[in-house]
Amino acid sequence: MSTAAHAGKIRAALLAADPLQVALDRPNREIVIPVRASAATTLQALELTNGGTLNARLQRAAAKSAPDAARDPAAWLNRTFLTTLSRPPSAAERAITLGLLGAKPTPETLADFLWALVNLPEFQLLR
Amino acid sequence: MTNRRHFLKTASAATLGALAARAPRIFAAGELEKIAPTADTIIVLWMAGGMAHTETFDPKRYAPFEKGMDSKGVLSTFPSIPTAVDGVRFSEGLEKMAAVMDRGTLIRTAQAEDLGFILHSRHQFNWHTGYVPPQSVAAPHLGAFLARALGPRDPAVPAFMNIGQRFDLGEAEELKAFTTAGFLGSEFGPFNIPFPHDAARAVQPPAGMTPGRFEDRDKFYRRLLDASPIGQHGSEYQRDSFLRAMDNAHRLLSSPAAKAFDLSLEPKESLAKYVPAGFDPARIDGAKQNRDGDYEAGTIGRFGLGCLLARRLAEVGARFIEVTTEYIPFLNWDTHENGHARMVNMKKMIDAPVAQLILDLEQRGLLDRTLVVLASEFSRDMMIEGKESAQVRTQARVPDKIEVPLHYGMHRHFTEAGSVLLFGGGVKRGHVHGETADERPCKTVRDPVTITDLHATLYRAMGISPKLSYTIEERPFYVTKDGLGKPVPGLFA
Repeated sequence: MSTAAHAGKIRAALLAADPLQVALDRPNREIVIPVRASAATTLQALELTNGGTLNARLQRAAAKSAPDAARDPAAWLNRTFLTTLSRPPSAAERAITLGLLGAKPTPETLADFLWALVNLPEFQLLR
Repeated sequence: MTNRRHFLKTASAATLGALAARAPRIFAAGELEKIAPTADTIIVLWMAGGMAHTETFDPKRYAPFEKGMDSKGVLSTFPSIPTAVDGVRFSEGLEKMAAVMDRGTLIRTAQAEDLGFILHSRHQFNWHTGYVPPQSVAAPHLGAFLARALGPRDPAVPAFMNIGQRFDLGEAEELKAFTTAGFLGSEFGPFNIPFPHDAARAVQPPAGMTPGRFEDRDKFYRRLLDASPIGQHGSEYQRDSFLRAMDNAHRLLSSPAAKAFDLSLEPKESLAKYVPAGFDPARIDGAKQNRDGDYEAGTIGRFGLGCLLARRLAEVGARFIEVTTEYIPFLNWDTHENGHARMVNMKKMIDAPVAQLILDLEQRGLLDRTLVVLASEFSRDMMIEGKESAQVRTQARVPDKIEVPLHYGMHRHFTEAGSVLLFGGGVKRGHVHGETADERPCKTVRDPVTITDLHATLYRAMGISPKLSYTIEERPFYVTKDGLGKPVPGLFA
């Protein structure tokens, strides 16, 4: 970290914060936040819906998952639910998702599914 | 923390919003005086980097450039011009703003605090939060306090819009440290639009996503949510708040208000009043970031687009909008050299759009209830760094004799006087507050205005007591420093 006046001379007191982390209430290193929001906010939802950071990560994840998902959609779905929600999908969830993914999941449909998954309150909220 | 039982016990229509936002309580709310607001919206036009008062709204004796001239003899590097108000003069290059001075109040005696060795981001933190960094809790930005206290004017439009500042050009984390809702929570934080010309993208689905797919994704999400056994694992309160947030986001993305973000919908003749002919925002990134004036010359128009976007957002119901000329170390108003030449371009950058913003708001009947504030973190001077009686280590070399234009300008940081312009929102028209000396140091000689009292004035216009506070760590945190702000007397009509 440096400042305009002291290039390279001032010790890092502030950590880089990206917009997604800021929207999700990640505190700065030097600030104590004793209370975290217990409810979701519009700006969070906007960042989650539209933000470039999450979108880029989901696209990467979808591209990486595509071969696995194409080989055996149901097994991939099972693993993904276990990884994210620590439980297998219910019958209804499996049916809805396989309906979206179809027989040949594309990176786009996979990204959309992953987006929906990480935006479930069950994934977002601790309680 | 709010749990479901507590929520059900206490929830009413009025408290719902507050609970959804972590519920910082209003401290001693009953004791606060009731203030009738004179404004519903604030637009801050931020002159980032330190705008010299003697080169803009408080001109002093003009010393034209001559080889070998005494540095000490230079107070203003431009002649003065008349304004629409008798006896009030601006610096040359601000003719359009001078013509609307009869709509505004000029404070000539804004004081920056003594924070030792001058660092822009510390003073900007101070101006925007009212507090001196570092604080033991994250101090909220002025816009976040207003968002928290008053909420959005239109539920589809985020209450706190922040236009024009990129966060990757130097001192980024220091800028982010005050561009935040802090302990109030992210609900009240800024909606950042670093590129005004690209604002439409902020309310459109991410790159590569078609509107149809975006809608399908949302439908799929809702079906998956309905099928989710969330009821067994989480509280309905949380689920509801999350859904409400998603709905709000979706509402903004699909509301008529979203059109306000799209500057391509502005009629050409109107756009031309904010932006010079031939300006191409796509070229901003390519503008040479040197200190010779090329950068300012190449980006005139960027701030104008921000002003235009601010007007469009004010029309659809934004609560607080900040438009910055953008802080980039050593660029824009941060003139450590070539001050005179770069000032010519900085004035071109602000003169037409600020004047047009005032005229447009007036023509739409919005100026009476919209308070426009033009301010900077401190002023500049040729000789003095800080204040006369407590000078700090200098950051610009100033030779005794000026031989080249490189040294002709206000290159040091001056904190003992600065100009703030206020338009609309209930303040007097054609009024000047305070007076500065006509010889160096051109400092305040009467009626100083501190940041704390300036904030109290802005809150007063919005109907908020300077003693309003929110509780964090079992103590009150006030909207003006320690609750001590007093509105500047005599500013309101």
